[in-house]
Amino acid sequence: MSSLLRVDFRRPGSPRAAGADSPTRRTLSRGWLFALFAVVCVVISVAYVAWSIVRPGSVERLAVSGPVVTGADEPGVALVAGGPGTVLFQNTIAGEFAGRVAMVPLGGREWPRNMAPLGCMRVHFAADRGLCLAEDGGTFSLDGGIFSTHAAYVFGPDFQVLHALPLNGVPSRARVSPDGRYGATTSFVSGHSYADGSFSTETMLIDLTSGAKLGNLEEFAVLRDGQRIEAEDFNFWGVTFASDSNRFYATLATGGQTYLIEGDVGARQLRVLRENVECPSLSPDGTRLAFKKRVGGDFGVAVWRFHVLDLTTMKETPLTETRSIDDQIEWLDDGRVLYGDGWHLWSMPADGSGTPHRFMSDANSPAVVRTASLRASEPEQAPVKNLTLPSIDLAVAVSTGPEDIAVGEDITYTVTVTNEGAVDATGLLVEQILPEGLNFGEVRTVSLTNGSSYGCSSQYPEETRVTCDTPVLPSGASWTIALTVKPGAAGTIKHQATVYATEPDANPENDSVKTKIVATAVE
Amino acid sequence: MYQIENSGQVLKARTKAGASRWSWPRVSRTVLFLGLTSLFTDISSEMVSTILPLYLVFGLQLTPLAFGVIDGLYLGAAALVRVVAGVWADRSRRLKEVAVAGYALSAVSRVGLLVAGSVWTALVGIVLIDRLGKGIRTAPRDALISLSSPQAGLATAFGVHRALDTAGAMVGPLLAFGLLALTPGSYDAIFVVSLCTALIGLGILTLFVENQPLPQDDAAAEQPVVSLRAAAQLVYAPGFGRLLIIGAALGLATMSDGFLYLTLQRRLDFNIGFFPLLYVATALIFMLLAVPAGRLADRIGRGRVFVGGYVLLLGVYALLLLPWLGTAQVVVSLGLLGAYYAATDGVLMALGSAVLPEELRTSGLALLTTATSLARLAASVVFGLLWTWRGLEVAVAVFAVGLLAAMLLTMVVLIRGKVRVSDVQPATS
Repeated sequence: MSSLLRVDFRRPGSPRAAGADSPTRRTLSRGWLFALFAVVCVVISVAYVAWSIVRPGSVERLAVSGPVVTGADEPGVALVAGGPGTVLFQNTIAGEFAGRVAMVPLGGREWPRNMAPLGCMRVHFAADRGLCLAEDGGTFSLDGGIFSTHAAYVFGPDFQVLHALPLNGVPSRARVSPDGRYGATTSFVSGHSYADGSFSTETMLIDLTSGAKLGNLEEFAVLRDGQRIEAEDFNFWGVTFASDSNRFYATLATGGQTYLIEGDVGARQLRVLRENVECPSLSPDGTRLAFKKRVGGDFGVAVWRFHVLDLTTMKETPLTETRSIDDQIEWLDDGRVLYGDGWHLWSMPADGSGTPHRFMSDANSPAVVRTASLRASEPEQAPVKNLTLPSIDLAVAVSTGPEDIAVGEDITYTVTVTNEGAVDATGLLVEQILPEGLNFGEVRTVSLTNGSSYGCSSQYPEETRVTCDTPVLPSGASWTIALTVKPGAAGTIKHQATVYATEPDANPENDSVKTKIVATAVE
Repeated sequence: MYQIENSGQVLKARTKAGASRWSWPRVSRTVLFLGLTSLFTDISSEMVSTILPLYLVFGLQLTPLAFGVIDGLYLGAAALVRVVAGVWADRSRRLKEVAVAGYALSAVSRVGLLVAGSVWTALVGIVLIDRLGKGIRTAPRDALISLSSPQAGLATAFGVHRALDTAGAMVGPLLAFGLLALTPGSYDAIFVVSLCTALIGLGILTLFVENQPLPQDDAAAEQPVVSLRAAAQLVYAPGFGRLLIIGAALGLATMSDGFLYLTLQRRLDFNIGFFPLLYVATALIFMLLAVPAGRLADRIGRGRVFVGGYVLLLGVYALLLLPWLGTAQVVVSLGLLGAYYAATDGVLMALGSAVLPEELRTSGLALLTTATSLARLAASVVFGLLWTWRGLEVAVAVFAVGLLAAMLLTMVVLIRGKVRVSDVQPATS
């Protein structure tokens, strides 16, 4: 570009122009200084890139990038038919296995985690096919646009990649039909900048046997009350397949409203069923759909609640999770659902009873493989590559003032968490659940030995759940949190404080404490 | 007091400078070096912004819409900082040093990216530092460009700067994707190269750009006091107040690039992976036309070229509303969009520079940029809502009508301003 320009090197009015230090000489010496500086910068850049190319893959990287080249010490693993089943998920514990697909037996404990040689942002598996959405480091192909930064990998029970398809945008959902025939991916695609507040999704169907793209849902015909409808703002996401694979459910958004649609792969047709259903997930028995329902939210941040829709009676039942969570539910079995909040996996009953319970820490994208169980591919082989963390022992104690108070008086809950184990606990989360109708006052960390808290917050104003988190609680240390509330009406106030951590707890019984206070009306 | 526009005088000045119709543009070394600084800085920041949203959206589990809200907050913070930094630069007379501070903050944010890894809370803070740096540096940089250029060549100077700047914005994503292809998944390598590129830009600025002495330096006794209040008073300055109104009104009717590309995609139904190509094509046209547009503005009048640019934008809207004609429609739209940027982006700053007193140049340009960018932010929100509630065609049609109204307002204001100020001698030059 500079060759196109004639530069006027005069500096009009420069006071130094008349000085002894002539501008030309100054520019020259500065020129040399800059040249040296620029050369150093370029050399560092080139050297670093060169090192990035040759360095071993074990370096912890931000990327979650598909197949992992495993060392000799990491034996092959495989999903084998039979047994109680397996939970497949993305392990998010920092370190060597961050982002890797991991497995634990269904119904067993969450440790040890058996690592598969695949890194996936979203993973799903059924019968003999799996789908893994990951970064692929930027591929140049006309098929996936000029640059695709992500890919959909189709893999078999031995986790070897069979097909790779370019994926547009950031992976959001992945589903495999129960017989492993078809797969569906949803990704967020958007303009050059997310600042525009616009977003667009792309949902793609894949034939998992041949690895061929069956089509984008936007190419399917949409029928509403028998009439074909079309609009430019159609967006589709969150596919769930029925047992015959050909039939599926998904979400259609248009005109600011979401709809449940029923699709037919063979007929390439979609039928609008009802309003306000996102990310449906069909129960194993095929009778119910678990989904997230938009219950509020403005300025682009939606507030959702999980619900279950009975397909026979078309009755909706709200589930007990009080947080707004953006995930596509996975059914643990016909009675319980499983989902991730971005940090941990949770499960709760699918009939609206009970409360959510932490299923697994530091995990994402759960997939329940009902017809397969985990075993090393060769039983006589060396032990599979497992990730196990040492056990900790956390204990919670709660103290309050008097157990009977008057309406309008403050109640202060003092929650003390102690690490009674021999090793440091990490990723601590203290959750306090209270009934509705209270005025929430201050919540703060009173003391924390040998550490610093990230702070406390309630995620959404309408929630009666307060969480506090801290990165580490050393062995022998304790953490005290004070929460003040004011009852607005007479009644019994139930409070439950629970502590969670990344490591397994040797004594889970003392991780949660319930207290009850009675507030009486003042005459 | 100051001239908005006086083509006769501009022509005379050009003739005196002896520049012929076909010569290469003449710009001061300050403009060239500021252009190179922006080139390298833009390579650096576009490399990062190409890949960062993926992390924020995925790591944070945020929907792009929520990310948009956070990004809006960043923009608001940057707008506030921009005005304060502008006044600070004018007050201290250290435009270069304030610009250096802004560029340095962005370079520091690259170090932060390397250190922070995937801790999302840290990433949000780092992006904020980068945005604040951008907010701080733009106004003193544009003021330096204008102060180091003759009055008659302001638009050319801005054109040269914008051409270099846009070249950097084109190279950045290509370099990022190239590096990703070379070493898949090594985002740290991208951050290192981005940091080094930012440092080269910072080096050019520090070593080769000098503060421009103001005429008042000779008469130190009668320096006017530069304060936030004095900057606020600029709103009432005859020429400048009008420009603010024009800038904000046109900004309110400007559809963001992202929506425009999305609309095109909806019409043609092309693979969404081609999005980066749309961006590169627009930037290419912008880069190629920035200098010619600037020279044309200096020759036939900046106001005319500025309004002409918005006529091109109106053409883009019209193309979006037409029935589908084929791929040519996309090509023409992108060409018009690039030309619109070339005719308006630097030219608005030249218009502003021509009417702003030198001692308040940075503050004034900061106000002008803030007014237009806040108006565009509001326009984005409105467009998004219109699209959601009433559909794409209605949204585009409303914006086309709004743009037409804003252009009529602009022409009325510019013509009235010209009549008022044409017989007043400009204070500078």
